[in-house]
Amino acid sequence: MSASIGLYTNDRTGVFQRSVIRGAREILERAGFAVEVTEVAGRIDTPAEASDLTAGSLGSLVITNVLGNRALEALVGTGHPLTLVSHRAAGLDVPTVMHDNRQGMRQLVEHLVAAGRSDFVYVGGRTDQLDGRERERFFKEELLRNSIDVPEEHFLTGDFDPQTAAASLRELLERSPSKDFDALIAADYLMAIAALSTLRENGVRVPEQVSVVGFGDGPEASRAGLTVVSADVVELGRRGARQLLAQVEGERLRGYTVIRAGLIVRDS
Amino acid sequence: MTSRQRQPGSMEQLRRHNLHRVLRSVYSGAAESRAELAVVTGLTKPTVSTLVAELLAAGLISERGPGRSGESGGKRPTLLRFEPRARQVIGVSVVGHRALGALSDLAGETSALHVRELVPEEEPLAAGVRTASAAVADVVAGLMPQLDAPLLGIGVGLPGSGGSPTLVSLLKQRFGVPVHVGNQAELSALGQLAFATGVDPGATLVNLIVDGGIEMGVGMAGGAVHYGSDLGELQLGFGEDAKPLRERLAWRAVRAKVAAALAGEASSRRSAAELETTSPSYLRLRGAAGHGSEPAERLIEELAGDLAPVLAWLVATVRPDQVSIGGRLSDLGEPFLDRLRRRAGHYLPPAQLEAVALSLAYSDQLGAMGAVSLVVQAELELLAT
Repeated sequence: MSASIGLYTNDRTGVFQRSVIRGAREILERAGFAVEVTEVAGRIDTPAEASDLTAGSLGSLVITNVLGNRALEALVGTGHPLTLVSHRAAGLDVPTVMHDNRQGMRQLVEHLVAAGRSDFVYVGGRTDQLDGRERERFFKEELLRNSIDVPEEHFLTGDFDPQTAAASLRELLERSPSKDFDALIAADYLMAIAALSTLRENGVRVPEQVSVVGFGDGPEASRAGLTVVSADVVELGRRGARQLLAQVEGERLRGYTVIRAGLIVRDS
Repeated sequence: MTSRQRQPGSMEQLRRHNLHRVLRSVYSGAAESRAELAVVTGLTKPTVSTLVAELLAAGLISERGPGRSGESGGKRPTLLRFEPRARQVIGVSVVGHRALGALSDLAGETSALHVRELVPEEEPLAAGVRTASAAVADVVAGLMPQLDAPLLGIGVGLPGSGGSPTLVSLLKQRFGVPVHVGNQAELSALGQLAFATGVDPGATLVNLIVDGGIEMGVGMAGGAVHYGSDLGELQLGFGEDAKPLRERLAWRAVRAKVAAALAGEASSRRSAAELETTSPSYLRLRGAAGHGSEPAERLIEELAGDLAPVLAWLVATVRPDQVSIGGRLSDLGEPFLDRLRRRAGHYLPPAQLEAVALSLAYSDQLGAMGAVSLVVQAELELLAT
């Protein structure tokens, strides 16, 4: 039996997680390692649980936040090779790969500002995940940079879930029928697509009345004609696996690797 | 010079120089076949053929099929193409509180960045390093697993005017490739000339980085000529007003003032769009000024007043086409540039200032990209005129 590498996720069927796993598997298997994907229910927090989980594996790729800080700290202490995907552990020096949320959000806001848009709605991701927190923070930074004010009721809950995003937007449309906004940014593209449909169902013309953009790209976004910054998640998985392999081979890595996101202008 | 060309070292230098001339001609589009290369470079056809074979073997150029035959007919020439992905370069810049590295191909297309936080003196963090050299080495090590092509070299932009022989030898020894170091402001100017959109590549560009210190970088003739300098010790004002620039504009000196200007702000108005962080920043100062805070307005005006003589002096001496402001201060944005231009008008006639475009260089990636450009220039001479 070949030596194995562990991949840990909260949901192996999610679009994001599936793509990371695909990319990582590609690199790890080519390098001759067996890959074991473990779905973690809830969150691994104690050093003992972490040690059980990773027993027998040469290294671990942790997708988002399924391992808590104490668990990560314990693994770092034993020298177990570890790469985090789209997660950073505060105060811990664990190598990470993630998308360039700052640059991506800047491109989205600049695109909308260049199109003359100034009244924004933001549909946020999950705040317990790095991508959700960072995208909102950088969105706010871009607002300051562009001297744009966004009222509190225009920050909608989306939780990286299209249905939640659509429900929040419907509620906003009911509350303010005058539709006092001309641009909507969603923290991921699936929520943006849901927003697009919701707006159209409510008689709002996109992009004539409201421009809609989202973070990340996929075939659904392309079919919907959605303007996005592409965040290639399979590539994120590949880069994460390469970072982990270097550690398995004995490199001591520090800091985080950031993959660029590029603006793709479509019809929304 | 002619007598020195007989020495073996100089023969090798000459060959290398010719090799780079051939590569540069294909890169710039000046020539796309062996025959055109002979015309453009003035080298003999057999010499060109030998050099082209060497570049093909190195993967730096490729053959892309037959072109059209010349006016006199005859055999159709094989067209040549530059291969930007044949090598990769790691460029690192240290700005403010972090070291940022870019992994780029020869055309400035980046595939990954790597970031290492330095510990800012005022905000101790568990995960961080104290020295820039260690951070630079961490950043390079972090990008090594991401290489898709052989590494041509490592470029580093550092604060200050002095080089860093220890860092150079450390990186050379650990990673086994050529290492080139420059001033970060200089490399940021170079990065804008080489790779940024909207910048005329033939322009003379001055980049001022105002962050932990005050640095100036100049790039001329598409980046073929560049230099950089630390302005922190420059005294401005006379008598009791005399104070070095560092004490007026470096973040350590300004931070407390920004905090004071923001003090009233936090309690009076909190919109949803405000940042969660309560630590002082130029972005928050700008936001406060945008909402009519007088202390914020006053401080921004004071900063513009402190930087204005530097701008005027640069415009008068270097006569640049463009001046870009980078580093943390760039977060003050366009309104700051307007004030800066107005205040610089106290020192220079308007016509002289109007000829200069003022811009913001938000991104610390520019320094890293300049470091990439430095390596490409030094190793392949692609930017030489």
